[in-house]
Amino acid sequence: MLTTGEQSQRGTSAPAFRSMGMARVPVETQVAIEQFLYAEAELLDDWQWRTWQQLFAEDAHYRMPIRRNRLRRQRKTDEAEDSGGLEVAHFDDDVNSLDLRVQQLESGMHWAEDPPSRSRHLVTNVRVQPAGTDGEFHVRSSFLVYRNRLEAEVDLWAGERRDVLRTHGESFLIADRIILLDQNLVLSKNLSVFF
Amino acid sequence: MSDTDATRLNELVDWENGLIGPEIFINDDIYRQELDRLFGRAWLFIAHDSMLPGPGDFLNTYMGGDPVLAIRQRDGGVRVFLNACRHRGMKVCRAEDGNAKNFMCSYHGWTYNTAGELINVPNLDTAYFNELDQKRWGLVEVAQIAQYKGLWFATFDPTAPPLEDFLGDMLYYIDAWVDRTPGGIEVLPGVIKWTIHGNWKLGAEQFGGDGYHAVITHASSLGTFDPSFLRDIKGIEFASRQGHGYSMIFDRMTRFADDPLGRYNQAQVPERLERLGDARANTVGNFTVFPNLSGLPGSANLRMWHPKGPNEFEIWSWTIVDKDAPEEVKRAQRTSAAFTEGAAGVVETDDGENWDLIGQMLQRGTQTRKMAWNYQMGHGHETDHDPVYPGRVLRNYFGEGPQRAFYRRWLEFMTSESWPVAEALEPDRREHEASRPGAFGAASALRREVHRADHR
Repeated sequence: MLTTGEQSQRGTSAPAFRSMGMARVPVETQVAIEQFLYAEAELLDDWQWRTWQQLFAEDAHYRMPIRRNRLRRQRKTDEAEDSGGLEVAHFDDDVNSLDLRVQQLESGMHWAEDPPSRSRHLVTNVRVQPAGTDGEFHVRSSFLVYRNRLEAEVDLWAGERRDVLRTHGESFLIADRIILLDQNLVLSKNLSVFF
Repeated sequence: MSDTDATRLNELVDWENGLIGPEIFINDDIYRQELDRLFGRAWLFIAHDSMLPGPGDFLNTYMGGDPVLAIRQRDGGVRVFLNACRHRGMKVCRAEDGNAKNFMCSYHGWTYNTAGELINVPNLDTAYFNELDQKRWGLVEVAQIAQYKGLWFATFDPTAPPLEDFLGDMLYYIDAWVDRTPGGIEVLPGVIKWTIHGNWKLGAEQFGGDGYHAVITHASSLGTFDPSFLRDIKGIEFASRQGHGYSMIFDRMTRFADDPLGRYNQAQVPERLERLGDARANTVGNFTVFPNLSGLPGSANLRMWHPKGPNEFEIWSWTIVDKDAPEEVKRAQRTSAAFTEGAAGVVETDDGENWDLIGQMLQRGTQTRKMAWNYQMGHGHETDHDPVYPGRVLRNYFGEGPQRAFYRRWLEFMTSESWPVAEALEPDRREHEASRPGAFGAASALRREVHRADHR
């Protein structure tokens, strides 16, 4: 199977944290989630894509919408929320298509990443809030991904992730991920790394 | 001697023998001449009808190096203006799309309506003594605009021949992806844009007909996910005298056999056979409409190669669907297209690797720039007299006829003082066709049809 045709509804993205009040989860939960995100980044930077892919829940969606330069009055309220329409996206994956992407990386013939790029995923500004569902959390974080490839190629991607993390034993599963890249025109030759 | 002299360009582009000097992919003088003589004269794709649904809807795109603003008019037509204020040349609109009643330049406030007329000049009385003739200072408009089945094209050259002549025998193939259902196509909202540090022609020539690269470049995607795709490929290559190219694989409708759209596509077969005939109905193709519109109908992809300098281009990539398809089919097509093409597409990412690294080598090297590139594949095995397909045809999926035709046409634009008219048929073929109303009879009928579409 290549991709699933009829997708289930995507999870809800993490809401904006516009209040400057106290975090509403216990500090241990905050730390555990931060540690999960750091460990996840390490898997990507260590090219452990198969292990990384297994962090996603069966019903997860992994989506990177395009960003649009529109007049302020005609901006959509939130590009991340436009999942109900038909707008195209950079990534629009479920666990099956993520698995295929990992298969491609494992093939030894995926020239865009073979020799593999060196990447560094920096994750900051982690804000956590309980989701409506028990054991689920809305997590918003910022990322800076540095890619250095072959001899002299450098790409820098900044952006934001809006995750729904689901408690899973001692750790978490990613139940939903929306990635908002801070570029309208992608300034690199491809997006062959995960975010 | 300048690099843009006709003699020098003729040395660099020996299309007849399939030898190209890569200087044409990196030289700044050649690039500047290309913007002027090629992009300043050729018919260039602007937008599909569905991208500008209502009056006042606008979008920003480029014609060569210049930003242009396409605006849907109240009468249903589309007009295209240089997106540059007549006062100091500032962009009058910086949003990529939207809806507007007028466009005010953010520098001094000159304001234009959707018909491009200058409707407001601040301090007209106190600064200009009411002496500025506003009628003379509207936005610069393209010389000609025309559409074929919802595809709008424009040219800056008033002497350019009609669009249907420019598209020529490519119309036969364009119909295979815009006219396969009664409702035609629509473009899904949003465009994926990304940057390659290389020359735009590398993308354009590949989509014209480089099936050869797929086996190696896309081994990890096409080969891994559906190994049957790359085995015993049966197909053809078409090269147009107008510079266009199309290559297609028979007996497939999508890139991947188990594509989620399989059921829908299967159900469409009778209709497509009816409309297009056996030769075009059940195929996966890739094409380039000279100079910089391309696509992969089998992957629902339409795209432009926008030049951004001799060694940089942007890809603007859209997803197309059958307008009348059910919503869930469109949704599945969107998901499938995102997985395959675009900046993060599993097929596409490996193309970027090639084009970008070639660009780096040409940028830094000198010996690399002197080495002639080989475009000889299939040379001498093509025919201008295929009983089914118009144009110059190779009955094989691997070949470089479309590239030779592309650079022949490129050379004509670059070296010709006036608009380079190319006869659709070589002289010997014209004689042949005169005695035989074959495939080209059908193409001529299509041409009459496009003419009617233009004047509807």
